[in-house]
Amino acid sequence: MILRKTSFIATVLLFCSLSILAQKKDSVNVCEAKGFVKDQANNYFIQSATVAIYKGGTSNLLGYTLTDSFGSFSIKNLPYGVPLIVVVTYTGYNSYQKKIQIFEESKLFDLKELNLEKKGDNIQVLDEVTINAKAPVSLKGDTLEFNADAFHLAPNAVVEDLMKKLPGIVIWSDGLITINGKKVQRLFVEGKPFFGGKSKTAMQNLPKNSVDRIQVYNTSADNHSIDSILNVNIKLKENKKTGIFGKVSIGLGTRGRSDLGGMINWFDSNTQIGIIGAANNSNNVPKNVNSLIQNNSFKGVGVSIEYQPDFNMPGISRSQALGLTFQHDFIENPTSFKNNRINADYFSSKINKDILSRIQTNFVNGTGKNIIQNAECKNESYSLKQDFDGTYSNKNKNFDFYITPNIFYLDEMNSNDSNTGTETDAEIPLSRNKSLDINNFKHKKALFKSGFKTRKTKNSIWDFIEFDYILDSEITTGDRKMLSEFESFEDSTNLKMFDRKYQSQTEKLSNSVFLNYRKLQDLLLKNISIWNINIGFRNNLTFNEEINSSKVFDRTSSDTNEEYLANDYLTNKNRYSFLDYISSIDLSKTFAKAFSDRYRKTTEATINLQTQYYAQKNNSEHQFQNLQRSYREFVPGFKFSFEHHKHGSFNKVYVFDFKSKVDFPSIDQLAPLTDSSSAYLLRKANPGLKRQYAQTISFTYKMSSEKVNNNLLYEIGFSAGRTEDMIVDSITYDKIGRRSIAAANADGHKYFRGNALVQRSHKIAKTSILQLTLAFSLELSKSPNYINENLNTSQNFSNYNNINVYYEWTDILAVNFQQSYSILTSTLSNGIALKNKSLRTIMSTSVNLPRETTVSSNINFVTNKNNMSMPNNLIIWNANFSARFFKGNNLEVKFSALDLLRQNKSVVNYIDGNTITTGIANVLQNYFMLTFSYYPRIFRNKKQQK
Amino acid sequence: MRTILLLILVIIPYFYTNAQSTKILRFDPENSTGSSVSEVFDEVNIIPLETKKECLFNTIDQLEITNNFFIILDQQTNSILIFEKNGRFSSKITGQSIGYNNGRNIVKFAYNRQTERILVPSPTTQNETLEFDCNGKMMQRIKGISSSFADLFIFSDGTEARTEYQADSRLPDSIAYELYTSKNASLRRKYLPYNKKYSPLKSKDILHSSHSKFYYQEQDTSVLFTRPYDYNIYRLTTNKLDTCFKIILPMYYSLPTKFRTDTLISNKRIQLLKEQPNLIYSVSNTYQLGNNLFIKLNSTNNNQHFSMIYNIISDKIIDVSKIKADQKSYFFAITDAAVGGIDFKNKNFVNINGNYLYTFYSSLRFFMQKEANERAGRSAIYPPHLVEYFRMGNRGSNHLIIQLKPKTN
Repeated sequence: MILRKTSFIATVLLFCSLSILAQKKDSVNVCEAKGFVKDQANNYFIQSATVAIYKGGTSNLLGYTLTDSFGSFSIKNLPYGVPLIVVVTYTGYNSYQKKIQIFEESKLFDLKELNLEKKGDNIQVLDEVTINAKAPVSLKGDTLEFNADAFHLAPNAVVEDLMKKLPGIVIWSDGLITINGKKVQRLFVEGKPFFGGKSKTAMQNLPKNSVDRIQVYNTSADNHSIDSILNVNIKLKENKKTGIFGKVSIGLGTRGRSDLGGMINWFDSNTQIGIIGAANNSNNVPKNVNSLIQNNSFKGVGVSIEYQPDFNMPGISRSQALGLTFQHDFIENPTSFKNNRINADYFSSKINKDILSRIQTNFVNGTGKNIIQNAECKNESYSLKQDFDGTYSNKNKNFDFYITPNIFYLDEMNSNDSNTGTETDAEIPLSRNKSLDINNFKHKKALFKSGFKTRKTKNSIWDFIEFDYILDSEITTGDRKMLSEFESFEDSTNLKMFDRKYQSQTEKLSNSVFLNYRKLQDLLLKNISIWNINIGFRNNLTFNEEINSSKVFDRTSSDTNEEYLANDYLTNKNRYSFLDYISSIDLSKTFAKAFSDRYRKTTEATINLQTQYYAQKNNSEHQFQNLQRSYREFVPGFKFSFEHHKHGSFNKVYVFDFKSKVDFPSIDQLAPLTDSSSAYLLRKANPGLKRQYAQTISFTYKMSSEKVNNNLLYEIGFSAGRTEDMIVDSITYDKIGRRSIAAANADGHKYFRGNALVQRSHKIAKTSILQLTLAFSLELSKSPNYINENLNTSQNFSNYNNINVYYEWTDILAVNFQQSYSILTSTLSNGIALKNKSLRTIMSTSVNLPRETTVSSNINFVTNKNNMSMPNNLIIWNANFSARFFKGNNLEVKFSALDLLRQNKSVVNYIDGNTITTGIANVLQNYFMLTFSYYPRIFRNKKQQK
Repeated sequence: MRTILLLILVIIPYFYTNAQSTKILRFDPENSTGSSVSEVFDEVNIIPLETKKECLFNTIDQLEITNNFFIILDQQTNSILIFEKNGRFSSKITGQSIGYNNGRNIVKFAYNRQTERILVPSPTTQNETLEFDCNGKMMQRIKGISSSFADLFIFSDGTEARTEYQADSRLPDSIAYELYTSKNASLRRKYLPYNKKYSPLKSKDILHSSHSKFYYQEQDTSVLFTRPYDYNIYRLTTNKLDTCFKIILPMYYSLPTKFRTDTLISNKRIQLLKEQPNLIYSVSNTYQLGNNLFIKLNSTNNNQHFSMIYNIISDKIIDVSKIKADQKSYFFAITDAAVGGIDFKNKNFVNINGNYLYTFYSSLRFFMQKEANERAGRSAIYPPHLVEYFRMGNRGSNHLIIQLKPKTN
């Protein structure tokens, strides 16, 4: 039995020893205690015994460490003139406790030899027993364990507060957890994902006092892989394995704002059930069950920068949501490679949204006479969404199996009332259009996925097979009414009025099969190796059919008594089907070189000899829409990766990737039906349209440092690409600013992107954390389109820079400074340049005051400038005051003052090809809100409850 | 008939082996004691092996010690490296140069201490051995009894002992011997017979340990031999096989008595051991120096490592992991396990030569130990060659050989 890997955990400990020793250093904490731990009876010095020093008469932990191979320990930065208690613990031995006091003059207390006695030997009688404390840290085999009880935090602390105190562990401001630079991939509670598996859900809800210990351990990434991933498991106390946690909150504000929420979650050793509801009219729109759960997290005693309502989101949303979540494990102690689990989530939301906007779009058409479009829109929407997601998964050592049924229902209504006009850049009006578009549609979808994966079992031909089957059935029914009145000032005869009704139904049925066989050489060549090249055979077959029927009726006058007459052109029945078959021979070779205790270098190269066959067929009542096409393309790929891991120093990953991709024109691009009721945008056909073929290369480099107290991660990436026969818009403007757009092929699309990210976290003594994140990205591109049938190639440049500094001092203060600066320019073929600059600065702070009160505030400065319109500035300032009451902090009262500077607007600003769009939209307006929240929290087993 | 045959196969070893001088050693790993380096060893020498491009190696898979050289097999670089006793690189035999290529690596070699020749099984020709001198120069090709699967030991009179075990229901119904001796290409003695087809213990049941099953003794007129699922330590001479020690373990660690012979668990033994990882499946790395027997007890539990020293006079057991480093070893633990390494856990003491016992350390662990000592204020006066090593070497340097001379009492 050969151990193949150096123990990461043991290495963590060795490298960690200094950080464990680090104490708050000041003029009082200048002393040191040292000694040896020995088993006198068996004549040896005990390695990895835990030595902890507490303040006498309390269980206030001042310092702790593990003994080294000499049984020796040294704990520094201890106070003088204070009674201290030294506690030594080691598995299988009685614990040892001793009172000491260090004098100012000596600054050193040598405990010399501390003798431990085995359990079951003579019972160690200590006349000095004063506290009953657990060892803070211990090493059990290859699992590092932190005993929660040894760390004394405020009674209402949660797991997150505890983890911030542990040596080597960094919780980044974006939620990432690293241990000595290595990313924690999975966080479990009792070996299982906790309410959706997001680490924050467990860390911000589970009370620290319900935790027995936090375990850190490595598992291999795959059952037969040498790569390992780092896991954290929260082990609960025996009597706390059942729990109820949740939140009931009522928030009432000025301007009629309200925010109601309720959540109740129950769990035991095998089952987790949660019910969550939310209703608000303050733009807090939950997306799924997980986001609902995270919005209702308890959070502990530490400081954090809280979520704020989005004052940039256009419009006002009123939302109601209900979520149910269920998880049940059929086996007691699941692992990453053995589980039998069922999950079910149900999510329903009802959202009403109103947006009022005033938008100006500047069309730079290359003639020197730009056209400006002004639009005032009132958009009201309503949506009812219901989503059920289920998963059954069964994993064992050699075989994974899963079934995931998904049922989705959406009922949506959109009403858009707009007044649009065009004018020249000299403000001469050209046209106007008034329209009311009411669109109601229902979408039903049933998706079923199932598949299996085999790993290496007995070297049989059934090893390394992946199979997935997807059945997707969808029905969409629509009911739309469009009223519009268009007038051209250039040509007074050109007055068009539409009163049009649409009834449509789309039925879609799609079947997909994916089969990947990763050991083709074993099947074909009977274990004859060709330079150890692995041959895989990957197939992806999709057959999709859509039946689309639409009935369109027109009324030619505004007389409401007049009947609607069928529009023969737009009324249509269409059957569109496609078959997409991607087949690839994947040749891969892995070279691994590991020098014991020095480095591991893994190189992997994969060539995808991939072909794609795509056949499309359309049958329509309109002859010009009847078409049948097929394509055969070679879409190869190549990937090269190199990983260099130097023990105790760094891990570096280099990836070079080449991909090709084909996109096929859709029926709406080849032969659309032109709906002339759309006044300013008409779709035109291009039956000669070809497919587009894109090739990209990319390179990424990632580095993570494994040095303690100096967590550094950085990432650099470059990518470049070109597209042949890119499907672009060919835009033709008429004199009054109406656009007709046809899809067309154009060469010349190229781009280059570069990005860099640096993250660094530094623990300053035991009290502060400073985190710095720098992000940079750059893109240069050439994108073609046609303007009035002339090829225009825009040269685009964009640059984004972001700096984020986060500082946290004990549990009292958190400060976050974030600044981003972005530039975007687009230069047309004729030299006209569109420029846009944006600067955003966010300053947030949160201070925990005595008596469980917190004050927090954030200011968000936004400046937008472009060369076609006036600059836009925005300053959003929010402030909160909250207080928690009761023994368990179960009641929270919070007063929020939002948008104190009464900006009351949102900025719209973007460049797209030859257009630049600016404007404002209505947003949440300044309001004050008082919120009462109650957090029911019971963590104990059933017997105890009785 | 088959049952009778099996019974005979089980009984036969007792006719061949002489149990009269067998000493019973009771090992309770829980009740081992600790000690210090200076109490257990008379001498500790730390020899850094030279680091340069042509002699950089991964780890020490096999170590043979001659009067002038350390001969090291590194399977990953597919080479046998020869270093002088002071650690200076001398020469090497690359696998590629002798036909070990296309993914085939040298997995073992033998050393004839009498003729001072290195013997490597031929990669291309059955029953052929390649012979090299200690400068890595090929001397001759020897035809004779050879199998690249077998472990080989050469006695001082040139008698060769080999051990191999191949049992599978697909093999012919024939008797083979787990251990046999030969001289001048003719078979001399055969021990431990088994039926290749019907033996209840199949090849697939065997968990191999890293070392060959032969362990040098102070005098090379005899060799110790161990095998899986058998707690006996055998002594083989040129004409006799004795059971010299029999290990008895506490029930918690002990295999069921019929574990080796039970037909019901054929091809399932490895799985059973993984399910009960506490069980000791073999005894290995057995070296007797004076009255001390060094021994390793193997289990599938990655966290259970027993490397012991049994004093056969006093019956005292010292756990090697509990030997505290002191000034004699310049405060370096004698194994890398103290600093989180896995070399000792995997390879243990790799060989002996005369009164000396050998193990090794990676430079990473050695530097880590040095830094831990400096932090804890443990300072030692290093000999000049170690001062030079710390000055010129780094964590990526080649391994260090630890040469230990145990006390004889």
